Amino acid sequence: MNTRRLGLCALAALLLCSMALLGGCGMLGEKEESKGLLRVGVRSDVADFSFRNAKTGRYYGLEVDLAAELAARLGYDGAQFVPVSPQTRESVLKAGEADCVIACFSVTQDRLSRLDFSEPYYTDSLMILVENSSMIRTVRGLRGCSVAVLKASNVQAQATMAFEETGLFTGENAVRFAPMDTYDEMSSALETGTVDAMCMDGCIAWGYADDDRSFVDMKIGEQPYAVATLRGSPLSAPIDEAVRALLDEGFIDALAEKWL
Amino acid sequence: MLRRTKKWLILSAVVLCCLMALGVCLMTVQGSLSERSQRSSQQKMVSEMREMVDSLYSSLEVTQQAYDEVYRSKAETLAYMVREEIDPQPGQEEMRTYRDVLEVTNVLVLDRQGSVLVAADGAAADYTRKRFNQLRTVFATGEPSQGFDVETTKGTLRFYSARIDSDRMAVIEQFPGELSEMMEGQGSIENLLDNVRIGRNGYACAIYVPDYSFLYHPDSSLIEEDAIEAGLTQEDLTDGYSGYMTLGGEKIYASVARYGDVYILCAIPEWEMNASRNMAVLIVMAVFIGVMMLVCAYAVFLHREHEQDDASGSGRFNGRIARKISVVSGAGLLLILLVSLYTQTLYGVSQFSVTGMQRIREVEETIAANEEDVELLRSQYSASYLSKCRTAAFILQKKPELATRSQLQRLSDALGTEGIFVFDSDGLLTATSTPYSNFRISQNPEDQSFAFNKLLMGREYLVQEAMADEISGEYRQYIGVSLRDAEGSANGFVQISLVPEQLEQALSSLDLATILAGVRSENDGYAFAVRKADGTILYHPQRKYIGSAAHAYGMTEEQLCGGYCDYLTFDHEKIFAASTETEDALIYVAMPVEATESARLPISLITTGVSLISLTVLSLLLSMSARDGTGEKPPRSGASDAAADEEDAAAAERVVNVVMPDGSTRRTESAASRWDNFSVEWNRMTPEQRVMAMLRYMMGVVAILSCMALFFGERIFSENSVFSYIISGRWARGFNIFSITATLMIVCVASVAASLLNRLLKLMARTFDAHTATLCRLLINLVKYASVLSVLYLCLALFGVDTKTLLASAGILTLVVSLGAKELVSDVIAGLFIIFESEFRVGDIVTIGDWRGKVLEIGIRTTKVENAEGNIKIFSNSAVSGVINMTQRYSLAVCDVSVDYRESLERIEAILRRELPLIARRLPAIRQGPDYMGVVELADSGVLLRIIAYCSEEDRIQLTRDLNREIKLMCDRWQICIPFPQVVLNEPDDFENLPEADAPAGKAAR
Repeated sequence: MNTRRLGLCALAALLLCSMALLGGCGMLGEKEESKGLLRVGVRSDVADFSFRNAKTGRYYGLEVDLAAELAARLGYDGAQFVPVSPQTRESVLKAGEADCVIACFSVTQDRLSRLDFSEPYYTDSLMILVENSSMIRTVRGLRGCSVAVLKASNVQAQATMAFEETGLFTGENAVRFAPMDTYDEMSSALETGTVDAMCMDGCIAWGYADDDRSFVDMKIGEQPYAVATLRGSPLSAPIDEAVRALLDEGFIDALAEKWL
Repeated sequence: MLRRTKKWLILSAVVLCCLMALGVCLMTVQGSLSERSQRSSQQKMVSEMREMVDSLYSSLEVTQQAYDEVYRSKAETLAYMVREEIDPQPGQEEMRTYRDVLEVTNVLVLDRQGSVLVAADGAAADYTRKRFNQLRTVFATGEPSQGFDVETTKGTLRFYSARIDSDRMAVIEQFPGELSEMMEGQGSIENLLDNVRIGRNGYACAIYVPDYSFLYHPDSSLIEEDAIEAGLTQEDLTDGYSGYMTLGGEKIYASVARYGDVYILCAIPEWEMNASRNMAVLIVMAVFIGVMMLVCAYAVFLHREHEQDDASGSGRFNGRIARKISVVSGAGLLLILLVSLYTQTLYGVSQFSVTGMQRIREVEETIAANEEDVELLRSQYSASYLSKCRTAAFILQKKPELATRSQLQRLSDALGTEGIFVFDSDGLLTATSTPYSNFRISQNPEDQSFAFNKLLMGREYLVQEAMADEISGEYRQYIGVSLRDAEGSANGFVQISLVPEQLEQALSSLDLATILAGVRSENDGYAFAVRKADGTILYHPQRKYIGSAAHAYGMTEEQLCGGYCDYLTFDHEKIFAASTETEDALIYVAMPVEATESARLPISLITTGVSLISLTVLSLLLSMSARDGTGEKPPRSGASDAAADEEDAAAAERVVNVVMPDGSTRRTESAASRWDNFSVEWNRMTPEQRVMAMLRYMMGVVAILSCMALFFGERIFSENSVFSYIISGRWARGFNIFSITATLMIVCVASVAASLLNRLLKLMARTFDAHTATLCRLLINLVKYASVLSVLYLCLALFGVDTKTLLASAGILTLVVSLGAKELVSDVIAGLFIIFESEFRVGDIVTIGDWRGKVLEIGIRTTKVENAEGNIKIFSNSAVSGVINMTQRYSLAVCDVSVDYRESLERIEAILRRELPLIARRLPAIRQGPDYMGVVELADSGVLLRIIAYCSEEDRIQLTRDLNREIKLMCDRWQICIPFPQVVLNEPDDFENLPEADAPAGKAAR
C-alpha cells in the first residue's frame, strides 16, 4: 500500500518529465526529388504586387507570394525571381530566362497567340491620374487634355475605346495621347505639366498617387492578370491547374486580403 | 537498506515534481499576466498612436495653412500694389523691388490665359498649361488661390495667385524650403515614434509595407534594412497582432498596427518583460526549496529519533511526527506567502518607479526643448509681421495718396492685418483703416505707445510684444516701421496692429498643459502639475481638478516636492507618482497602481496554494514510517555501542531534558553550554535543533548572497534593475517597500560582517592566552551591541525617522535613559575596569562574596562564574566587589595532622621524610612538595604538624582531601597514633537511690 502510493507519485513525476521532453521532438518529413528552382519573371516596382527592397534585393507582394506557392505546389525547391519590365516580359520568356511570368501581365487576344495564360488571379482596370492643381475632377474635364500612356502596352488601345464611348475622342478638343517609355517619365511629365493626365493599370497608378494627385472617376476596361508561359510550354497546364486550385481554396483571396 | 534507498529516491522525485509544478505554475501565471498587461498597454499605445499620427498630420496641415496664408496675403498685397498703380507702369525693375519688399522668390503678373505680362525674373514654367489651372481660380472666386507645389526648371516652387482685375492676376513663386523645414521641425513619424516609450527599453518602429524595409527604428543602422531579414516574419506583421517575435537576434514582444502603407510596431524586449518575472519566480522558488529541504530534513531527523527512542513503534502513519512536520510546513507556508507578496510588490513598484523617473526625465527634456522652440516661434512670427509692416510702409511711401481710410482698409485686408495707422513726424495719427482718430502717441514712458517715439528719432522699426491694448483692452500686437523723406530722415511711421492668433495657437501647442497631455504611458499613466506657490493644481487630464488645491485631494506637504517617487493618494485613488520641479510648478507623472496591485494577491495566493498542496503531499509522505512492523533496526556492534554510550555521557552535559511548565519533556542545550559558545555536536542535537541549525546556515547563505549582490550589484544587475535603484537610494524615505528591502540588505550585511568578526575573535580567543580571551569576549559583546545599534539607527533613517533630531534631542533622552540605565552604565564601566585592571580573567578561580568558582565570561554587563558543582552565578559587573582571585602561580594544599604526645617527633619526621616523596609520586596534582613544615601548635590533645603541597588552584580542594587520606594511611601503616577526643562516661552510683517511680522511665529511656 505504501509502496504503491509512492509508486503513483513516481509515475506522476515521470509523466511530467516526459511531457517536457515531448515538446522538443519533431517529425522529419520525406524529401521529394528536387526539381530545382522555378524561375519566375516578376516586376520590381509595383507596390503590393511585386516590389523589390532596393537594399536587400528581396521581393515582396501578392505576386511574389503566389509565385512561391506555385513553385511549392509544382514540386520545386522554391522560386527564383527574375526582374522584368513591361517591355521585357515576353522577351524574357522567349529567351528562356524565366519559366513563367507573373508580372501584372494582362490577358489580351493579341498576346494569346504567342503565350499561354493561366486562369486570371486578379482583375485590374485602367485608371487615370491627374494633378489636383489642374482642377480636373471628372472625365468631362479631360476634354482637350494630353494623356500619357505607356508604349508597348495595350493601354492606349483600351483607353481609345473608352474615350470613344464617352465622346471625348471626337471634335476639335479631342483627347491626345502622349506615349512614353517608362512610368517614371510619365509621372514627371504629369508633375511638370507637360501632360495633363496619365492612364495606366490601376495597381501601378496607386504607386504614383500622392496627396497632390487624384483619380478621375473612370475605370477603363478589365485587365485580367494571369501567369504567362510560352505557348505550348509543358508548364502551362500544371500552372493553370495550380492557379485554379489556389483560387478554389481561397488562397488568392487571402493574399488579396493581405496585400491590397 | 534497499527500502531506504527507494524511499529516498521516491522522496526526491516527489520534491522534484513539486518544484517543477510550482515553477511551471508560477512561470505561466506570471508570464500570462505580464503578457496580458503588456498586450493591453501596447494595444492602447498603438491605438493612441493612430490619434497621434492624425494629430501630427492635422498640425502639419495647420502649419502649411499658416504658411500659405502668409503668401496668399503677399499675393493679395502684390495685386493691390499693381491695381493701385503705386508705380504707373511697373516694369521688370519695379517688379524686382516688389519682390524684395515682399520677400518672395519671384513675382509675376499674368493674363487670364497664363501668359506673362511682366515679371521680376523669367517664368519658371508654362502657366498656360492645365497644371496651373489652380492659379486661374482667382478670376472665379476673387480670393487668393491655394498654394501648390510644382517641379519646374528652377526646382520645386510653390505658387500663389491673386486677382488684380478681370484680365490680370498677380502670381508669386516661392521656394518652399522654409515650409519643409518647419514641417520637419514640427515632427515626422520618426519624431513621433522616437518619443514613444514603452517600459524602460521598449520602443516603436515603423516598417514600410510594400518592401518590409524599416522606415524608422531607434537603431539607425536598421533603417532601410529588410525587416524580414532582421528576423520578423510576414505572419507577425499583421494588423492587430500581438505576440513574441524576433528582431535583430533579440526576442521582443510587440503589437502591430497598420496605417496606410506603414506597419507600426510597439515592442518591448522579452528580457525586460520577463526580467522581473524571472527574478520574482527565482526568489519564491528559492524560498520554496528551502522550506522543502527543512521539512524533509526535519522529518528524517524525527524518524531517526523515533527509531532510537521507541524501537517497538511500528505504525504506518505516525501522528506525532505528522503533527510536528505540519507545524514546520505551516510556518514555511507563511514564509512563502510573505516572500511572494513581498517580491511581487517590490517588482511592481520598481517598474513603476523606474518608468516614472524615466517619464519625468522626458518631460524635463521636452520642457527645455520647448523653451527654445517658443523663442524661435516668436522670432519667426515677429519677422513675418514686420515684413507686413514694411510692405505697408513701402506702399505708402511710394504713393502717399493711399493714406485714406478706405484705401488703408483695402490694404489692411490684403496684408491680413487688423488695422493700419499712419503717423506724422509729430506722432499724430493722420490716417487709419480703423474708426479711431485724433490719437497722438504718448510722451509718458508708462504708456504703451511711448515706445513708438523711437521711430521718430531714427529707429527703423519696432516690434512690440503682444499685450492687452490700453485703449480697447483687447489682446493686440503693434509693429511700427518708420517713413522716410527724400533725405532719409524719419518723417512719420506706419503702424500695424494684429491679433496674434496664429502665434498664440502655435505657442499653445508648446505650453505645459499640452506637454503633460502628451505624456502617454502604459497602464493608463498620466501627468499632472501643481503650482509651487500655492499648491493648486495647474493641470490634470480631468478638468474638474484644475484650479483646486492639491491638499484637498489628499496630497500631503511631503509629497509636494521635486524628486518624489512613491505611492500617494489622490482623490481617494492610490497612484504611484514620480515628480520633478520646474520654475513654478511641480510635475507629477502618475500611474494607477490597481493593475499590479490586483495581480499581486492572486499570484501570491496561487504560489501559496501550490506550495500548500506540495507540502501536504510531502508531509503525508514523510509521516509514513519506513519500517513495516517487524522493526528493521540495524544491529549495532558492541564497540560502537560503547562508543555511543561514551558520547551519550559527554552529551548529557550539554543537552539536558527539561520539564516544561505544561508537563512535557523537552531536550535543550544547557545554559553553561550556551554560554560556553561551543556548538553542540551535530549527532547529539535534537531534531528541532538540527532544523534550527540548518535554518541558520540557510540564513547565512542568504545573507552572504545579498551581501555579494550589494557589493557586486552593479556588475550583476543591469543599470535599470530594481536593485540598482534601491542601492542608489533615490527613493523617498518612509515606510515603503524600498526601505524594507534596504533594511533587509543592511541587516544581511551587518550580520555577515558581525558574524565574520565574531568568528575571528573566537579563533583568536582560542589561540591566545587568557587575557586575549577576555578581551575577545568583550569585543564580541561590543560588536554585538554596536552592530545592533548602528543597524537600528540606519534603518530608522531609512524609514524616514529623522535621526538627526533624534540625536539632537538626546539631551532629554539621555536624562530619561540615564535614569533607567544607571545600573547598566555602572555595570559597563565596572566591566571595563575589571578588564583593564586585570582583576581577574576568564578561567581564573575567584571568590566573589561567598561564591567561589571559575570565571566563564566577563561581559560588558555581567560576569559569569561557575562553581565546582557546575552552577553558574551571574554577577552584574557593578556587584563584583571584594574579589578574591585565587589563581596564583601555585596554590597551597594544607594538611594539618596532630599526633599523640607520646609519639617520638624524631621518628615521625624520619617517616615523613621517607614517605612524602612517595606521596608526591602517587598524587600527580602535586606540583611541588609535599613538605613537612614543622609543628604548628602544641594543642590540648596532640602535637599539630603541618604538611603542605603546591598545586594549581583548581586542584587544591581535591588535593587537600587526597593529602589527608595519604597522611591517615601513612599514620596507620607506621602505627602513629592520631589522638582524637574521647568521651569516657562514668555512671554515678547515687542514681540508684532514686525514687521508685522515676527509675523505670529512666531505664526505659536509656
